[in-house]
Order: sequence, then structure tokens, then C-alpha cells
Amino acid sequence: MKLIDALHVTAAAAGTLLITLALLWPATVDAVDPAGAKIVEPTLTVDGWTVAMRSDKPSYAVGEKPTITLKCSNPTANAVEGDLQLAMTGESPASRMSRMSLPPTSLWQGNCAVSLKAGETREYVVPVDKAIPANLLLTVRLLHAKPQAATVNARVAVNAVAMSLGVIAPPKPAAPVAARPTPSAQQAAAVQTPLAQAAMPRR
Amino acid sequence: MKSRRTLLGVVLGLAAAGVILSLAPAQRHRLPGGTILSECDGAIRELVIHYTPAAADVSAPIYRQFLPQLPSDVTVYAICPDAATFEDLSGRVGALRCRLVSVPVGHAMTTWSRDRWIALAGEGASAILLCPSGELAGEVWPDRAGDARTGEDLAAAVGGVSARDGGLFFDGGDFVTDADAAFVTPAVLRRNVQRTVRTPQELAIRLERSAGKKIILLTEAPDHHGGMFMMVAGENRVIVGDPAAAKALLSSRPAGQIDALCPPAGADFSEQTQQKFEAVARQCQAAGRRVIRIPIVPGRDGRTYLTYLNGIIDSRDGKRTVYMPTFQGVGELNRAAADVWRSEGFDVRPIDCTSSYQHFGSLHCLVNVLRRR
Repeated sequence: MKLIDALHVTAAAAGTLLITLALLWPATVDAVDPAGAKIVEPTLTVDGWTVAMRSDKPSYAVGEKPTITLKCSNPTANAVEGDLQLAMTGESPASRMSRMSLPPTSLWQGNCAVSLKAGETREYVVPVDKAIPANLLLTVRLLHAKPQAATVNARVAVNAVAMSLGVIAPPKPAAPVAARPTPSAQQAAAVQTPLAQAAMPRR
Repeated sequence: MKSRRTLLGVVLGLAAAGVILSLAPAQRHRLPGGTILSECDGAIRELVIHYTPAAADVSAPIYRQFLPQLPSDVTVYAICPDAATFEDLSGRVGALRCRLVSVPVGHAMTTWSRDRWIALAGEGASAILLCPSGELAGEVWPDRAGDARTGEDLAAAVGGVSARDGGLFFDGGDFVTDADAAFVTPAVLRRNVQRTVRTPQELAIRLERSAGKKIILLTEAPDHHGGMFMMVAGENRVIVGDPAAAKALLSSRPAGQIDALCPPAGADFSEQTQQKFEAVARQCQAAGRRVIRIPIVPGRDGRTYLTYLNGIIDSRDGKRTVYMPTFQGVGELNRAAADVWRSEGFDVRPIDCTSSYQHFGSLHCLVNVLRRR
């Protein structure tokens, strides 16, 4: 009788153990490597309220003007105000031989004054008054800058996020090598896909 | 009675599961693949270079000096578009003691091998290539698009090597690694925070898990690859560039002659740029490293550097050797830089990198290390 009891308890324990481990084993939780995750809307957090940035299109033709939408959410119990700054920069390799592109240059800057009541969510639309140029890798940066209290040199604390704008290239002669299809397809799904256009100048 | 036995079994099972799961966090944080190679420890076993006809004038003069100096137990994989290009390279570098192996890939690429992947030492003698999720401008720059494939090409061609997508945007040159930690440039922060990860902390965790080593994210540094402005030297030492030291050494020269060293914009000895190098030195000190300074001439374009840090270090038979870039027309800088490395116990082998530095890289940028002993 005691042996039967022990076997019963052991079987119940083993079953419970297996089920519990199968459900809660951390490797299972971690099995999906966050490496695959991409943030579609870069989000800036400012003193408890957030700004999610997105462009009106996933990609643009040369000459088009993008529109940036800022979705501002204030989950706090207080009204908030802020002055957001946007900047579009462009960069390109100096030549085909270059190891890396030249530092980005400023193409456009804009501001957006934000005022939110407690608990309010509101979208601000910011047109970019700059036509998409050719031969550049474009990035839009969103910044919230505020003077840092108690710093000797009144330095500015900059809180920023950025996204790259995809640009559709005009038709061009067939390139000798096509981009690797898999990553490009993955990246195309993300707003921040870095895409520029046209052949690079050769030094 | 039966339900009591069942209940007792469930309780015991839950308790056992609790004990096992409490030990599981170690499993969660177990490094998934390998450990990023140190730049300054171990004897070089295998190197990887890219060679393309278009960049032959940039890279071949450097390979011709560097490759013949490598010992016979070193294998160099030369990734080339085709077999004819490899033959061209073989002819240019001349007789070698090391083994030069062709890896024809059938597509275009740049000549910069360093940035394509980071080598991790895996189980046994295996190597894992941690590749970036994409190459900047790869979609429109055929050579750079080809670069994105060379990690997989190499893994397919060389036994014991695998390649995987690191899930992040980076260049291999953004990492400078010693035995204990990898220093990572601010560019990796800029390219990933709010793109692939939400916060710098998340980035550091991801990198640590991928690289298998402590990650030190540099928050302020010159806007360039790490190996252009700093290099690890082992035994807790880091060598950091010092524009002021170069300026002092060049003080007898007319300004126009100094500017001509870094065309087209000229040399940058501004206080603002100097402070970026000082910031790197401070961060390395804060990380517990002893910092040694070496002359460096940064360009106002932010890219063209005369740097003595962009070398390759080989540690074998108890001796450290640095293959150090040198540049024509600046003998006083070349000598001073070699003295710095020698004072730290290195055998210095100069490699003239005049042909490449105006394209924003030198020896370290051209050569990637696959395996060390």
C-alpha cells in the first residue's frame, strides 16, 4: 500500500514538474531572440509624456516633401508643454573607395510646440519644407532640449530619437550587384529603413 | 486519500520546479555563441582581407608590406570577386610565408574587411561571425551591398565558421576589444537606440549577450570608428590619440603644409575635437584602464585621420608586435608614434598606409582577424 502511495505521489510530482517546466522554462521565453525586433515608431520620452514619430510614407521619390507626424501622449495627471525640434540630415560616401560616409549635413530644421492636458493624446503634423534630394541617406532626428539645472556651463541636455527616410531611386542602369534580398525585405517593413538612391560619385 | 496523494505530488512537483527555475536565470543569460576576440591577446591564426580591382591602388601597397611579414602558421583568406582578381593579388604581394587562400564570391564589395563582421571565438576552434543587420547605404551602393554578403560567403567557404545576423546596426570597426571588455563607439548608440532597441541599457545588454564580454558604451568620442582614435594594448592599457601632441610635433611647419596632410579640409587641431579625444581617455580611465597617449592628426572632414592606432597586434611567444600604420612626409610623427608603442613593450613593424588613409581607413580597417590561438 505504501509503495502504491509513493508511486502515486511521485507520478503526480513528476507530471507537475514537467508541465511547470514546459510552461515556465525561461529559455522558451527567450527563444525568440529580440534581435529580430525592430522599433517601427521611434519614441521620445519627455518627463513622463511620450512622442512617437512617423513619416507619412515608407519611402519617397526624389523631389517629394515628407510629412512627419508626432503622436504625443500625456499619461500624467498634469498638463505639459514642450518645444520639440526636428532636423533632417543627409549623408553620402565621399567616393566608392570610402570606408564610411562623410558626417551628415543639415538639410532642414523645424519646431513643434506641444501642449497637452492631463491624459490627452494628440497628433501634430509637421510638413518638411525640403524636397528629398538625390544621392543622400536621409535621417530625421527628433529632439527635446531643455537647459540642465545646476550645471556650470548651462549645458543643454538633449533627448533625441531618429529615423531614416526611405527614398525610391529613379530608374537607373542595372547595378552589377543587387542588395541581399532577405535583409532588405525585412528592413522595408520598418519605417526607419535606410535607403538612399542612385549611384555614388566616384572620386 | 487519493486526492491527498495527488495534492502532495503536485506540491512536491511545484517545489522541484521552483528550485530548477530559480537556477534558470543563469541559463537565460548564458552567452549564446562565443566571445568577441581581443585585439591584443593571442597569436593570429587566421586573417581575412577583401581585394577588389577597383581598390587595388588603395589596398595592394599595404598588403604587399603586411602579408610577407606574417609567420608561416598564419592563414589569410582573401575574399575576391573572382579567381582572376585573386591571381592579381597573389602577383602583387609576392612571396609569402603565410598561406594565402582564395575565397571567390562572385559579387562586388569594398576593400574594407574590418567592418563587415565581428569574430567571436566559439566552442573549440570554431568561429562565429556576428554580422550587422544591414550595411549603411547598401541598398544603393553595389559594393557595399556586396559587403553585406561577405560574412556568409566566408562561413560557406571556411570550415568551423558560421555567420549570424547580430540583429543590430554596426560596423566591425565600432568595436575595440581587449581581454575583458569591448569599447563601443557612440555611432552604435545612434544607429540602434529607438531603431532596434529602446534604450542604451537594452543595447548594452544585447551587445553583452552577443559578444560575450563586458560592453563599455562610449558616450562621447570622435565621430569615427573606434580603431581610428583608440587601441587596446593589453595588460589593462589603452592607447588614445592626442591631436595636441601631433600639433606640437608639427609646429615648425607652415599651416598650409599641415593642412595638406588631411585633404580636402585640412587638419583639425581645434579645442572641440581635442576634447572628444580627452573624453575617450577619461572614459577608458573610468573603465579601469591605464591610458597612454599617441600623436594623431584628425581631419576637419571628420574622416581623414593620420592615425597610428589603426594597426594589427599579434601576441606570440611572449612578445607583442604591432603592425603600425605610417605615412609619408611625416617622419617626426612616425618616429614619435613608434616610440610610444615601443615604450609599452611592443615590437613595432611600420606599414606605410599613405595609399589608404585618404579613404578614411588604414591597416586595421583593411584586415579583420578571424581566429587567434
